[in-house]
Amino acid sequence: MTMRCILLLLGAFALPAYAAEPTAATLVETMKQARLSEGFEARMEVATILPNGHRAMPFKLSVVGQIGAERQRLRVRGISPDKVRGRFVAAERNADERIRTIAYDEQLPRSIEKADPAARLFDSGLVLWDMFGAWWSWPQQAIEGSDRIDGRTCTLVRSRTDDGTSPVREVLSCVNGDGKLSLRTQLFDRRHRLLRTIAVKQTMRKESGALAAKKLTVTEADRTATEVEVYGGDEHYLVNADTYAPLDNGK
Amino acid sequence: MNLLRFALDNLYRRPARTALTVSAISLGIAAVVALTSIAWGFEASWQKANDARGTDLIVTRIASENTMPSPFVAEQVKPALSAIPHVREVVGLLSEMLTVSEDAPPVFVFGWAHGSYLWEHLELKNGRWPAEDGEAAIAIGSLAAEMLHKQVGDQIEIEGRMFGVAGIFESSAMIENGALLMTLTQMQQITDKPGKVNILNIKLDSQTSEADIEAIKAQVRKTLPGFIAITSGELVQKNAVVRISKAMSNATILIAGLVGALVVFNTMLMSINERTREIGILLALGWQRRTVVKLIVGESVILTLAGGVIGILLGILIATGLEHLELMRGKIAAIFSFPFLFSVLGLSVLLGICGGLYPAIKAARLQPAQALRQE
Repeated sequence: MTMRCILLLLGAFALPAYAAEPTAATLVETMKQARLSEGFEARMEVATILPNGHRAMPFKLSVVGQIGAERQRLRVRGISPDKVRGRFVAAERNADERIRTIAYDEQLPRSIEKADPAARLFDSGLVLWDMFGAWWSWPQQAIEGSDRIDGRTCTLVRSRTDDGTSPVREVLSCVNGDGKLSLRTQLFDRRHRLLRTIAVKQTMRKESGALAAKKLTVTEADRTATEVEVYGGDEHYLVNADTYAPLDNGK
Repeated sequence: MNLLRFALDNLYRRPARTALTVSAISLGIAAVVALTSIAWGFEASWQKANDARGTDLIVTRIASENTMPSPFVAEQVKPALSAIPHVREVVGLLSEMLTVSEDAPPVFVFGWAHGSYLWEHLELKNGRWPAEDGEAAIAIGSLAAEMLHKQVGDQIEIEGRMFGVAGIFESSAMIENGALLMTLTQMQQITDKPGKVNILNIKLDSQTSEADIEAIKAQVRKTLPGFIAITSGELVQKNAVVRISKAMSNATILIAGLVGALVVFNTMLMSINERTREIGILLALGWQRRTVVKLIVGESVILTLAGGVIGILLGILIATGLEHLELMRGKIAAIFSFPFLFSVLGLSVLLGICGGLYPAIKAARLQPAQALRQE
């Protein structure tokens, strides 16, 4: 009888504690929902620091995106200086989870060519593939404890895929559940070598109350660091009919 | 020898301790003066910029608490606002803080509807205004011209597009003097926000009463969900940066007050412990306990008053220095009002009284015979 009471008591306390911890599925779903957008625009300044400490000339670019459950589209436009001005990279990810990427130049309308979504953008640590957050759709998701980054608690989520065509096979994210933002994302290849780490340094609050990265650093395997600062943008960007026209025309 | 002279002599006798106590208090007071004057100056700069334009009401999104409210499509609300009685003009404004030179910190870039009343309060010092809505030309504030080393005829690259400097203007609002100004259409193009504005400025006719203004506010709340009509003062009050800077200045006042009182308390307590024998002699000579209290509190008030005066001067110096920092130029103008400075002086006197009261009572309660036995 006493043992039964103890077990009941333990059960009563354990249940709420268990219920308070999010499962991998709920956390992943939260992240997928938080990414949905009918249209957004973010303008950012990007500076790359080489392992020898040399700081490349910073550049500005704009990212316009539309993130739906079935289709996700992004368009990156180089703003300044001359080496990036008018250069576009656009990509689309459909239900088949393949990412189709094109690159083109504003001045040369017929210059559309296929591009690699896993390639570095404008010689920086930014990679279009990362912006799609494809790992949130992978079937293997597991929670691996929690961590604390800059005073914020986050849950470690390991995402894995067996897709041989994916440039990244495993991602370890540290997700702040309240802010619906991964504060640190580590991407690994098929040999479990760390490709790059995306660390959020400063956040801003969106209208929904969720957090978005204002400043982040992408550190690559060779210690090349890319600092990104979002200085402008629009949460409710009105996507024009021609925004993704080159992507549609290239089909 | 009067009591004041006696108190001053006691402080002169321990110059190092007196100097250290005055320094600690003056640093606290300086922080209060510098931070508060900057916080007020920041608030006043924004309000002045809005007031100088002659705007009576500002319509913005309810959730907007950033430096500039988040953008919205002007045409969604403009027709409804124009139809409200007493509304003479509804003008869009789009603004962002942008880096336009590698050698200078980011500056405010404003986009104002071409030909609207917003331009009227500016004084053109040199050149001309952008001639038409589509012209890739800007006018720059006198301070911005100085900071960016630009003059009429020069080119400035903003968000990857080249703009010619058409004119240089002067405004009564410092924020505008440090800003770049272009037509709304141009601003919408370079920031990729076609048709969008941060705020809509409303100019009312001269017959509008306070009651009419309240009625307009109520009508906007009722008929335009998600939007709010507020005065420029209310908009500034809602600004997150203004709120943070005010909270910081209040926290500094509290911390500086507590630290200052503790410093004085400690100094006076040490002082009376060292002077137990001396206080015993004074009491034995017939000094009233009330006079001993006056002496000790007087000493602590002299300490804090000196710290207050030096702190105020130091605070003014710090705030003025910050104003001239390249990063802050054109964004803040510290405000030093006499009532505020006298309040700070009053605060330092209060610190002296609070910090010195317990040591003074402790000294006054000494028994002369016991005090005289103290080595």
